[in-house]
Amino acid sequence: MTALHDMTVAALAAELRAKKINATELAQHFLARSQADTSGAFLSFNPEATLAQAKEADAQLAAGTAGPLAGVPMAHKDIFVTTDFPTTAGSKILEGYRSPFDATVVRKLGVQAGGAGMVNVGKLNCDEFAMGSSNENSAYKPVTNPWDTSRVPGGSSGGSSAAVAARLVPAATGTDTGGSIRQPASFCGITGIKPTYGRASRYGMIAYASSLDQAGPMSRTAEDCALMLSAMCGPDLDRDSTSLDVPAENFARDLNAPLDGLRIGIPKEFFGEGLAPGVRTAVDAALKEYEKLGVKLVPISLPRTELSIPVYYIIAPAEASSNLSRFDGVKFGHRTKDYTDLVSMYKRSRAEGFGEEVKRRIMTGAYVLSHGYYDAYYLQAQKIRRMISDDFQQAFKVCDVIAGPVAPTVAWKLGEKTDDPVANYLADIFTLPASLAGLPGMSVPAGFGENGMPVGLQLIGNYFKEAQLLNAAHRLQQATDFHLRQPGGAK
Amino acid sequence: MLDQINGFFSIVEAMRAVDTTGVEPLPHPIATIQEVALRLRDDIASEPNQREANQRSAPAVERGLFLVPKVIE
Repeated sequence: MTALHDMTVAALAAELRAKKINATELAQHFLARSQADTSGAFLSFNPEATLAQAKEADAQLAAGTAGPLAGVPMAHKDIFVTTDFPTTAGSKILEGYRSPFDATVVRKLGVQAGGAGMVNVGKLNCDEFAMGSSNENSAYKPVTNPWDTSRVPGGSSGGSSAAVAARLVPAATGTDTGGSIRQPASFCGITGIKPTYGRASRYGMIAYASSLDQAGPMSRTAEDCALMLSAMCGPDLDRDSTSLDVPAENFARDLNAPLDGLRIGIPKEFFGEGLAPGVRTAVDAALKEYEKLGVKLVPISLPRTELSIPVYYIIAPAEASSNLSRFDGVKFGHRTKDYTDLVSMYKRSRAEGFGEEVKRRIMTGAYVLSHGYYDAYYLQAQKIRRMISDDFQQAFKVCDVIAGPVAPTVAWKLGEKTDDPVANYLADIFTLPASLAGLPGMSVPAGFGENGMPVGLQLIGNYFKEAQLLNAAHRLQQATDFHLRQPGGAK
Repeated sequence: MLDQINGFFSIVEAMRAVDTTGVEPLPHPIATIQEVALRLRDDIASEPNQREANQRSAPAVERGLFLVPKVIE
């Protein structure tokens, strides 16, 4: 029999329904694996709460009231607030914080009435406030990549990608602002999808850049992503002002649809000089595989791809500087011990609580929003954001899905880019355009590049076309076995 | 830190040179394809009172109030 930790979400859900296994033994198995982990993927556990959730799932399964994924273990990125576990957003400023409520995504996936019934094993490490692409900006500890422990797992959802790749949990949540689901999925050889902006509620997802942040699932297969995404999405109109009034969908409905006649657009800007040869070879091979499946490859252009870097790094810090003003040491979070009056308390609490990258982005954001600079930076960036979005709509006139690399390189070495934030920003070039346009995007394992490290193929769909993306990803996974490969470190 | 922030603004220059005459800013990405209206909800209390849970993570609380240094003498 397949080891429990080698089974997919879909397979585990089926075994649970058939009463061949129960949620409690599953929770114990994955909890033991996760607690023995040395990669740094987890920030906190609460075995009592995990086992209580499993018990509830078992009761629902016995009573016939269980949700579609009842009893399947998973873990949440520590950006989602949870009542049963601490929530830190990877920051010292929230050390020990306990939320009085659960995020909507946590509720929808969990064992509460109406939820999918999944059991939360613990909270996953991430870059501080999701700002980073290597997980090295976590205030607590870095995460190592299970394919090579001298390398980063990507970020900001680096704990999520490492935990799923190492089979500590079958699936995890992530959040994607500028690529934070797709890039770590690519670096760790797993599958991840960010839905259309506004599909998943941001209620209880600690805000970084509100006009870009989206939640999404990370797992080994497109099918598992489809099952979880179906549970995560849906209107949350009273609690998230940017939530779209678009009904929840069964994103798994078209997984097996044939791809004959599908047009995949290949943006020439994604295949320029900066692309590592090994990444290019793997991506080209995946595109060849698609041709065998009846897909037509169409050359397209996204002419403002490079501009997406400054545009994103103006808009996201601007929104962050506003969102992070709530961390003042008054109602929750870190308060300095050393102050003389209210203003010095604010200043010192923030200076002590935030890490370097967060401070850089707050200062950049405050500057580009300030009087005299607002038009030249923030407003200019928002205008180019529209031009970038319009470029995609032009492209979608001649293709159905857009494909290319997720990142220019495979995962880099820990410490390699820590002193050079701009080098980190430049590495986000292929994920930022879809983020700015609010389009759904995913990363699908497409083989291996330099140093035998995983390479992800990025698929970008038009608004609300998640089912089509997952269909394309699923068909590729039926034709290839990259998503089944296991890192040497995962035993 | 100053060098790093200045390094970032050097890549921003390319953006400032773009001609955006007549382009509307895009605050909500879905506005690319359809109108996105700001939504208001009815002004009614939707959450139960949970003062204790809300104050559990506060740095300083006394008699149900958040404590801050004295502001007015």
